[in-house]
Amino acid sequence: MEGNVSGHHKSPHKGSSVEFAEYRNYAPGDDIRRLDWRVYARTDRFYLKEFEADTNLRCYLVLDSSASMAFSGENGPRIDTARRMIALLSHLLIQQGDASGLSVLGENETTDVPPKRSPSHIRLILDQLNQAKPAKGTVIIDRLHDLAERIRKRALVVIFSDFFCDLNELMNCFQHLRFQKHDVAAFHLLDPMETSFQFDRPVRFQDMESPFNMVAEPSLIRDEYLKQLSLYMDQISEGCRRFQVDYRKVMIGESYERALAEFLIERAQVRP
Amino acid sequence: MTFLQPELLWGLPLILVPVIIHLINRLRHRPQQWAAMQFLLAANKSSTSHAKLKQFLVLLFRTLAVLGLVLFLSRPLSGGWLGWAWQSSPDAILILMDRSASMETVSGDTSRRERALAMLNTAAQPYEGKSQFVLIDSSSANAQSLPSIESLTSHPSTQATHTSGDFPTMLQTALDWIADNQPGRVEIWMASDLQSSNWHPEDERWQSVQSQFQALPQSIQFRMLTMIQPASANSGIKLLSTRLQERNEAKDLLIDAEIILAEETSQPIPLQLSLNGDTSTVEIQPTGIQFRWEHRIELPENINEGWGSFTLPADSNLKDNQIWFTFSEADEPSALIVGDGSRSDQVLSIAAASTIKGKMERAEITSTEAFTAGQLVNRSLLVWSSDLPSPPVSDPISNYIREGGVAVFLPTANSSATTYEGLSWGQLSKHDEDIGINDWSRDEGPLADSSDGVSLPLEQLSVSRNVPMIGDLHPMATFSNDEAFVGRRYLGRGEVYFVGTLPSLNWSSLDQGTVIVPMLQRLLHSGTRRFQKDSMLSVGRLSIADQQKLWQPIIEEITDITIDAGIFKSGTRTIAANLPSSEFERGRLEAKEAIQLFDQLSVRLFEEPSEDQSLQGEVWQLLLLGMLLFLILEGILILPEKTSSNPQPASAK
Repeated sequence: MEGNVSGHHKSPHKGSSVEFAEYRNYAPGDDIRRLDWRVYARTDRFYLKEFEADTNLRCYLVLDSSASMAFSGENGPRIDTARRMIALLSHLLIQQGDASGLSVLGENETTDVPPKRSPSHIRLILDQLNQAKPAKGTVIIDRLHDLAERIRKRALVVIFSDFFCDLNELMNCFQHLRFQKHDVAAFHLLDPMETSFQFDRPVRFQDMESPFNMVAEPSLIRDEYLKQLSLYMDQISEGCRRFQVDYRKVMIGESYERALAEFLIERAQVRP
Repeated sequence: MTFLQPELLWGLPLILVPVIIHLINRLRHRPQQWAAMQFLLAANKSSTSHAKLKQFLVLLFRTLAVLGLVLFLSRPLSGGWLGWAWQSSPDAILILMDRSASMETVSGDTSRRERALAMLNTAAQPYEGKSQFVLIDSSSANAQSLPSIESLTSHPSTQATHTSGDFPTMLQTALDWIADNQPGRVEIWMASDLQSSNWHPEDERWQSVQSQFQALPQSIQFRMLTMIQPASANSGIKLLSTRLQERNEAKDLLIDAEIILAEETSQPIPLQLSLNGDTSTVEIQPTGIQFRWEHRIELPENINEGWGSFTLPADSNLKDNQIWFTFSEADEPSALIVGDGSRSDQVLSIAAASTIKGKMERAEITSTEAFTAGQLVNRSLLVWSSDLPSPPVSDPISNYIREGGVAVFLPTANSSATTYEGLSWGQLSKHDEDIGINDWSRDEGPLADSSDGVSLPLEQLSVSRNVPMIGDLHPMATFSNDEAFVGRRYLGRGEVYFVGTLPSLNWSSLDQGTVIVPMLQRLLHSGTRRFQKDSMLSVGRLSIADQQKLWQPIIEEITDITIDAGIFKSGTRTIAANLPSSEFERGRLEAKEAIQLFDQLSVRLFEEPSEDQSLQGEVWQLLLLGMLLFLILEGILILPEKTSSNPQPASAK
């Protein structure tokens, strides 16, 4: 058992506990105290004996503060929805005894609030959320790699982002997090304006993450735009499936509470 | 392609309006902060060619629509099926065919008339059996039903002539035919080279024709086929007069002609002379592009009468290359002086004396009371020096003038309110100091300079009394007080002259004879020429009396005095028929000017094409359809796509 308090979630971590889980080959660097000497005596091979243990959940709620998160459609800025979802989720986690922390991926550094289960900890998270401001460029890739290195204990990493970045690099980030044994969930926040691309006259599109801009006739490129977006969505969904990342699309303006509820319910069903 | 409203082509820059609107539209874009830029860039990159093509097509269709509108308003003409394919069959098609001599101008192997007939024939084929065809030719101006359009080209009334045309008369004939036959929808097809002298654009009859057509209950559509394709060079010769002059025991035939060359040349021009069938060649030296040519032919002793012709070398129109003349010993010219018994009557009698064969014979003098119509028979000049005649006395005088006679009217001291043919005398003006002659017509008329350039001594005249003339008279000479000395008016084929003073000591120095004698002698000669039996006439101008006679051509290939130039004989009388002088006028109407003669009537123009034999017609309907088509295509391209068919991004969980 990891942690001091038993939570509702089964820890994904395998270690020394009362409930045997499996044997695995010894690898250099493993704690030799966990070697099963009896098996060694019988087989002359080193095996580690692993046990499953119930533990309280350590959850890192990650907010992408790239400039694109400031995009605002009819239902307000994307980052506000992300804030609300993080606040709600952290509150639920702490309420049920899990430890909840916050990582805001800023332009130059990541602002971390370590996971704690104290009810008073929720205020600290809300304060940081309130202070989180969109950066000037794309920050998610580097910061996720940093985060993967910095989280020492296995944890649930829940990322809230629009994921408008290089897809391969994003998949590398997910792979890195998964390599560190973290459980990863990704909430993909999209605005209806981005998915419908309905404009009635020429528009000068100003890139939110660079000074680049372009004038386009939306009616002429809409089909191709939607095709590209659809392709991207398929690829990111497929990539998340491959790296066992829990991918969820959230449309700004729709009920995010429902999205979070579905997320929590499905997790409870997977690990009763 | 030609245009009826070419000035509207200045609107062609309007085709840039869609492009300008497009550019302005691009400039008035709204800004939008955008996060998903990577998809936008990819979409813009991959859909550039398609989008640009679509955008180009939209702009192209908009531009073409505006172009179609501008061209439609400019009323373009086009040939072939484009021009004629939009028609339905009218009940009657009246073909007004110009067969004047100018229509015989040849370009290539065919004349304008032949090409016009071929084009009319082709254009009328679709209406064969559906419409009634009626021919009105310019020579007879009579309406004749055609059994079929096939007969048009071979119809006797569509063949070549030496006549001129009169389109107001032809249109009046068309009106009469429509009134008599009451057809439904009528089309009037006119084929002409638009020679001004055939159209008489200044004629008052046009207003009458316009109003009559506008008053018709049925729909009348005019189509004008203009044969205006330029032809090669054409020269012409016009006969002005012939005169038989006795010189000792011999006789000379004096020919006065005008030669109009196609281009200026210094090379001698060979003219073929035919005299009573004997041919010879005469060379003339041109003195300009249009010059007067006088030629003396010494007649053999035994020849007192005969006929002849001069022929220019062949060119693009043979009809104006030949003049015909006859000659014979003329009847003695005679004048009649109608006076009030004053001394001036004697002066006038002497001044108008006949001088044939060197023997002077004074003109007969009679009083107004003794004057009878019978005294005008075979008179060449009437001098009326008394109060203006009034009916019934004036009636035979008017007939005499209309048949070609010349009459000179002089004033009296007593003012009278009598008018003759709308002309009258004003109040007598007495001058304390004599007045002179200010200006006079030196080119033509009875006061013209002689052929060797010597002018009449009008500046030596002194006038103490004059009477102003009232009415429509063309002043041939004016006093220094700006009132007319001599005024002329054409009446029928004859001439009326008013002279503003008397040859009397109390009135003027006219009695000295230096002016009055040559003036009256010229008028006497002019009147004599009209009545001499070897007279000349213009083709198609045969008098009503002469039309009743049977005229036999002397030359075999010439058949009809009403349409052909040549020598014709009836009994003992021989006539030389020549091309009307109006056919020598080179002036042509612009197509637009011809259409304007029809005012508000619907006229569509079909110009002769330059190469093929297809007609040019207005194609505004086609352009209108084109414009609508372009607008529809443009509308389809910019139509918003259905929402349901929009591709949506794949959802994923």
